[in-house]
Amino acid sequence: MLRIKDLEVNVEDKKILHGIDLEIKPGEVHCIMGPNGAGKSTLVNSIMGHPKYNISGGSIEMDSANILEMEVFERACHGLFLAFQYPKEIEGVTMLSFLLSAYNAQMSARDENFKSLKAFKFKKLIRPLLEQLDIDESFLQRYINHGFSGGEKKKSEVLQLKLFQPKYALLDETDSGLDVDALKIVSDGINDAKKNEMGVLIVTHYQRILDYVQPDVVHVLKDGKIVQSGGAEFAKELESKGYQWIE
Amino acid sequence: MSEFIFEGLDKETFDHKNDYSYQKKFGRGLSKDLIRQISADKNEPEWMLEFRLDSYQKFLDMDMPNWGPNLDELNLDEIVYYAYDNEADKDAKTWDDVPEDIKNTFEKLGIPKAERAMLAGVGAQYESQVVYHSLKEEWELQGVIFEDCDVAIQKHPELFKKYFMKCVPNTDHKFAALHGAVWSGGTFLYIPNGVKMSQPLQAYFRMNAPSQGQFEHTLIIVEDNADAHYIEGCSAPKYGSSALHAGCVEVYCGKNSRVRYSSVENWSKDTFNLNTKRAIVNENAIMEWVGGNMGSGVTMLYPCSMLVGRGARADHLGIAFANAGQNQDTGAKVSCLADNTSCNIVMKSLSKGGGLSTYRGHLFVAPNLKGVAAKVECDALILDPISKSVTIPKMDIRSTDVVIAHEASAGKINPEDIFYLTSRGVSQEQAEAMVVNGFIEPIIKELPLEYAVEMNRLIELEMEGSVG
Amino acid sequence: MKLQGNLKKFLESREIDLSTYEQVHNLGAERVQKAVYFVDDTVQKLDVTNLSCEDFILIVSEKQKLNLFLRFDQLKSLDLKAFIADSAELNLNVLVEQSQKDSDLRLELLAFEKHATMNLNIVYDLSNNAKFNLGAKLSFENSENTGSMKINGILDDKAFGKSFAEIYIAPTANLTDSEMRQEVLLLSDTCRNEITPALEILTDDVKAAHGVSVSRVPEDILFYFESRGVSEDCAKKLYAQTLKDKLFLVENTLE
Repeated sequence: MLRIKDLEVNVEDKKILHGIDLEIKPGEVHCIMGPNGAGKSTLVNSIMGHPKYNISGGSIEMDSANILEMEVFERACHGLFLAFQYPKEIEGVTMLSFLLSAYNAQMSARDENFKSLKAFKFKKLIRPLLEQLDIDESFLQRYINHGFSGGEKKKSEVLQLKLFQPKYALLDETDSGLDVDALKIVSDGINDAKKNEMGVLIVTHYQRILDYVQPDVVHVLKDGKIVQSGGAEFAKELESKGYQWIE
Repeated sequence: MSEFIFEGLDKETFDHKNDYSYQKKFGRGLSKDLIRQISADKNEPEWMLEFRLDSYQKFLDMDMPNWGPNLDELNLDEIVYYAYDNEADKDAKTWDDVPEDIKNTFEKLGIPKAERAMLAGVGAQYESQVVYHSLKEEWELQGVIFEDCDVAIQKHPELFKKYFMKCVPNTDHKFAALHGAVWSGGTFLYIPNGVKMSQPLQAYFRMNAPSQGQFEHTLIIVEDNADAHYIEGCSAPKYGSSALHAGCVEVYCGKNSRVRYSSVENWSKDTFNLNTKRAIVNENAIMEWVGGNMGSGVTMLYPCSMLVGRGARADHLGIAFANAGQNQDTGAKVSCLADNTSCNIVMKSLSKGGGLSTYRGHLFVAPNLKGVAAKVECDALILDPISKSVTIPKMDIRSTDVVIAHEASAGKINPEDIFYLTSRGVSQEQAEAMVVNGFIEPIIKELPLEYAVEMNRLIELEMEGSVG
Repeated sequence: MKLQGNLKKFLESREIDLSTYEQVHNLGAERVQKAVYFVDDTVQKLDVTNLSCEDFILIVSEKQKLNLFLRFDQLKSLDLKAFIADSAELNLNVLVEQSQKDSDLRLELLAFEKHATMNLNIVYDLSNNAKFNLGAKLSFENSENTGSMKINGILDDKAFGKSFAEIYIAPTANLTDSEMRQEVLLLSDTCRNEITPALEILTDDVKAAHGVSVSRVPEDILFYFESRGVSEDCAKKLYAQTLKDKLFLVENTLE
């Protein structure tokens, strides 16, 4: 379980999150919605450990391990994954060498008998994933997210989700800027991963993705607090009424 | 991917030393007697001895440069300018002919494998003589000459005299004059008209004994319509007293020729690397300087391209890494002296542990020229708060039918990039190394494979801080 | 004159003894060789033509802001140093239009505390055989300051423009955000131009970039003008004017 208790987060001197409580069990899909500036991105980025965010109170435990004591890469190796809203472009480093290093690092952390893969074997491993997401193999030779369209960047994040098979995935507005086809591919990716008992936290602004990915719980985040939670029906209500009526 | 030739290499390999007792017979410092000795030993023609003595006089008359890094630590009287090991066979044709301990040095550095791999021929220099040399028959048949300079002056006197130190005259600066006085060894490469070398040629220099000055002279002549790629790499083990490297590289690019000079310079921390590299580029010819500069305590290195023919072009691609206690003062000099000349300069510098990396550029466009284009990009990555970067690109433009663009940036590794990479499970160090690799990649990809590997490995070692 | 400790240190480092300077209150009206001017909240904007002094010190105190426009068509020599204090802002815009003689302009803007903003905009328009020597420097001597330098040069006839423009970031100046852009437009076949844009960066957590471009008026733009009946000469002048206008847009917005 990913257990977040009473989490308080500051950016510089400003408090953004005022005590967040959240429990995500393996196989559950939680959705966080809310107006702009509510702190949605702050939440997922702080769970991952973005240096900009200061945890000023509360705790985060993943399967009973204290996440806050871990470095960012340790959290990833423990099975935490963040699909970025704006994936970084890093010129000069190919997707292949990046994914290969990360894959070897994470698998070695999970299994001490794991033997690091060389590029050739890795390509064989990743090929079916590329096909499933309708990504051309030339993608591996491109620099990290460099020159990728918005949709390509999101698909690249979902590819990584499928590749690393994390225990808990945080998706930061993965659906924004996607056309219907891309949205379907991304959602299929999430649903597949969910079948492997992955816990998912989706941050979104739009209700649209919830047509494809069935959430177990929907939370509304407003002014740094979760003000209301509910099931799928609650999501529909939000879509028709907006956020104003919630207090 | 082919076998990684430099796999298993670490900094210790480069710091491997041989017995240097042979050096004791020549002593330190410079004198007319030493110069006469050098010339006599090599059995040189009269004109060369005269040239050496003339250079020596100019060296005494000229001042040290009054700009750039501090050269106070360099004690010219303490340097050993010439050493000759009688034990070594001069100009061995195959690897078996080379003396054992010298062979060991090169084995450790992977040279024989490199020869077996796709290269045409390897000349390797040990101290002041060229020890090993081999050239494939087909090139010899085409008239390609790949010799050490000491031999070339005897075998090809007319050709040698015609070109030697005309591109970099001994009046140029104090260290060019010094070079003219005590130069020894180095590569002479001559490519006749129309011959296009499909494989690169390489040489590997090595300084061994303490306070050894390296003054090798590389003279590359590529005639009209010919192509050549020459690779040079350098190394020296660490020693207490300063070693001086005042070599000289002269390149002549004939009309429509294409010449690439790649080098990876990794002298040890006590070395002063004051090398002079210059090319004269004729009509429609292309000169490419591709270089990696690591090591040495103080470096002053500004490859220079003189674009004298219409349509001539120069590309300068370089990486400089300044670690703790190092001052890398490098750059590029291009003079556009004819119509339609162009140049493209990409320089990437890194500084770490308090090192200082300086880019000094000089772009000159002569008056009344048409169609000149120049593009310069110099980026600096400063890896910690105590390191420094300086960029001083001078552009002296005396024509107006020009398009000149220059971009530079300096800063540290973006923490957002590190966050992204570490969020995928790679450690902090690995993530930093990836970003650094990405930063230098545009240059690395132009280096031949094994040098690309060596460069990457060297950068990794510098990053790890496993440098003394 | 009361001076904060930090400012004293920098004045000393530049060998400036303020007691040898005359304090002026009405810039432009007073003819003084060595002048010092303290910016306070009574004046936000100043526009001076042919500032007569040769050695000028400007002190922008804490939280003050000044938009200063200096215009020259008879420049001989000026050495201007501005010291910008905590959270202060200086926008210095300089226009030099010279058609003969030699002129020399040295400008240094120095941020010695934090959260200051300094913007230096220079346009020089040289014709005939004017010779102009420009030295411009943004010095960041403390952290969290922002600055930009924009230099546009227009050269015609036999004019010669020489510039050395530098961004200096001291070891204590982390979180500096700086930028430099230079554009030189060559209008004749006989003008000459020498530029050295320099960066000296002694710490890592900063933003520093510069870009330079030197070119003539693009052919297709000339062609367009001419196809509408405008002569080549006129077209060049019109195009050059756009460079000047870009820089001085800020002036219009403050009217």
